[in-house]
Formats: sequence, C-alpha cells, structure tokens
Amino acid sequence: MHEYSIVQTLIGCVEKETREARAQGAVVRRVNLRMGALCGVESELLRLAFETFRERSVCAEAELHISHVDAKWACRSCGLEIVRGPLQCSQCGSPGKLLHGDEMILERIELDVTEATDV
Amino acid sequence: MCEECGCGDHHIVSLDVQTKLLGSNDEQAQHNREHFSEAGVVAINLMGSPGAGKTAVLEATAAAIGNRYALGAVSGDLATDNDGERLRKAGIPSTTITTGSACHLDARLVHDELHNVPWRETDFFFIENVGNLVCPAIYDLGQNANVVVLSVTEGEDKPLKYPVMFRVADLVLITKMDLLEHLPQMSIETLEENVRRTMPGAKTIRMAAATGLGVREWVEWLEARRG
Repeated sequence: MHEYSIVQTLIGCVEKETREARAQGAVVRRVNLRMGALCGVESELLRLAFETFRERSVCAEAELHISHVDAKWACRSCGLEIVRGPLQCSQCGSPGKLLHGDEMILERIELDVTEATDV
Repeated sequence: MCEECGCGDHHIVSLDVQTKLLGSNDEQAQHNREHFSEAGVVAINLMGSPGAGKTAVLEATAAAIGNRYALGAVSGDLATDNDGERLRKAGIPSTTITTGSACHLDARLVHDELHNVPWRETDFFFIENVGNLVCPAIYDLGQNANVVVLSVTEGEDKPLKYPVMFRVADLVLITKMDLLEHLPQMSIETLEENVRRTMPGAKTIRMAAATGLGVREWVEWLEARRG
C-alpha cells in the first residue's frame, strides 16, 4: 500500500507551497487533488492515509477534496477513440495511447487568511 | 473575521499549484535514465506478483546468455536477501535493497543502491522489483523497459484486475507454462486477450523457466533493446 508514501509527498508539497502564507498566519483549509482512474492510487485508501498523517502537519485543519478523471484512449496514429476491447485501433490497427486518466496532481490549495497579516 | 461588515465569514484565498505528486520521483528517474544511457546499459524493471517467477526468469536468462553479455541486478525485498543470493549463485552480480514495509522501489532507492553494484560494466541491468502487482507500477525508476512477469497459476483475469501495471508494460512474460496442463479452467488465449485489453501494443512471450520454453525469444527481445 503506497498511499501512505503518496500522502507524505502530498503534505510535503503543501508545506512547501504555503510556507510564506503560513508564516503570515494563513491556515490550510482545503487541498484539491485531481486523480485519474489509472493513476494507481485508491482514493479511499488515500483519504484514510490523509486522516492518519494530517495531524500535527500543515494539513491538520484541511479537508481533502479529490476530483476524478476517467481514462480515455485513442489511436496513436489516426486519433480514433478506443472505447472497449483491445487497446488497438479498430480502423488502422495502431496501438492505443492514453489521452488522460493517469494524472495525480495537486491542483489547488485553499488558505484561510482571516487571521493573516498580509497575504 | 470579515472586517468590513463583521459578518463572521472567513476569507479564503485559493492557491493554484498544479504540481505532479510524483514529480520528484520522475526527476530522479530521469537522472538514473541518463546514467544508464551514457554507460550503454539496458536497464530492465522486472515487476510481478510474489512468486510469479521473477527470480527464476533471471536465473534462466543467465544460463541462456552465458558469457555473451555482462549482467547485473538489484532486487527489492521487504525482509530477506534470498533473491539476491539466488541471483549471485546464477552468476549475476547483485545486491538487495531491503525496503522494510515499503511495497515498491522508487528512483531514489535504486540510485543509492547503484553505488554498491558494478552496474556500469553490465550490458543488461535488471531491477527486480518488490513482488507486487499494484504499487511498483507508478514509480518510474529510469529503466529502459518495464517487463511484467505473470504466471499462469495467477489466473487469466489479472490484467483486468491490475490495469495500471499492464498499461506501463513493454513486455509481459507469461511464465510457468509447463504448469498449464494442470489448470483445466485456465485459458491462455483469454489471458492473452486480457493483456491486449490493458496493454497498448501488447507483446507477450510464453515462457517456462523449468523447460527453457520461450527463453530464446526473451533473450532476443532483450538484445533488440540494445538498439
């Protein structure tokens, strides 16, 4: 189960991206991830890992929001979409190419700046 | 607190980041890839379930190749050096990365271990990943190719259950073919069809380390990677 190491990486990213803002009093409230169906990470396990690791981290008061992206395949030569069956173009026989669905991206961090001095 | 009207609302600021979570692993992997490429080494990331036959494939490879090429390996193992020992016995200089509880190798672990094994002198350097059909798939190690070892005893539906692994494969070795006759429910054709549904440009080799089936084809595939 690699979700724990992914969450540690995620918290490290949030820490780095918000260092300045937090120094001025901003609090991380929400972390938005974009995850593809073929990114290799289970959302529920990731949530569980996040709940475990966020305590005493910069994400202590943050909720995790995950938006999901389906996998979409198309022919790597002619671009025809491949919907089912083998990952091969039904017209020209070329192998398929994944257009989207393998991403695992930290998209956005929402900061509460109510108590911040200057952000 | 909102200072303008005292309504009690919090001021939320949104920070657009767009960072790939595995970005730092990908960078390290690219660094490894440059190392391998500069030294003319073909690095193979060998993945598969525990007991799929990864080590047996490498033993058979060493026997088939003999002195024609220099081989080297590093294997990832949660707790033992058993695979490393088998590989050394087979004549492949190798070391073990003991990962503890970690279920996969990452690019940093491989990079650090390269200091302990004479990889530069090899023609083919095998990275035998931790036995696992899930986690290793998403960690680029800087390999030239991903090879997935899938044994017939694991069942024909495995590619459909673990599509992430088969998507990144450059070759699937279907091992333990000599056991197929004992598995009446198992259809090798269905298994291969399932590989085609999850692996673009699917390439499979039927293999049996015990009888030598497919070993020559596998070695030819390796030789073609030298380009």
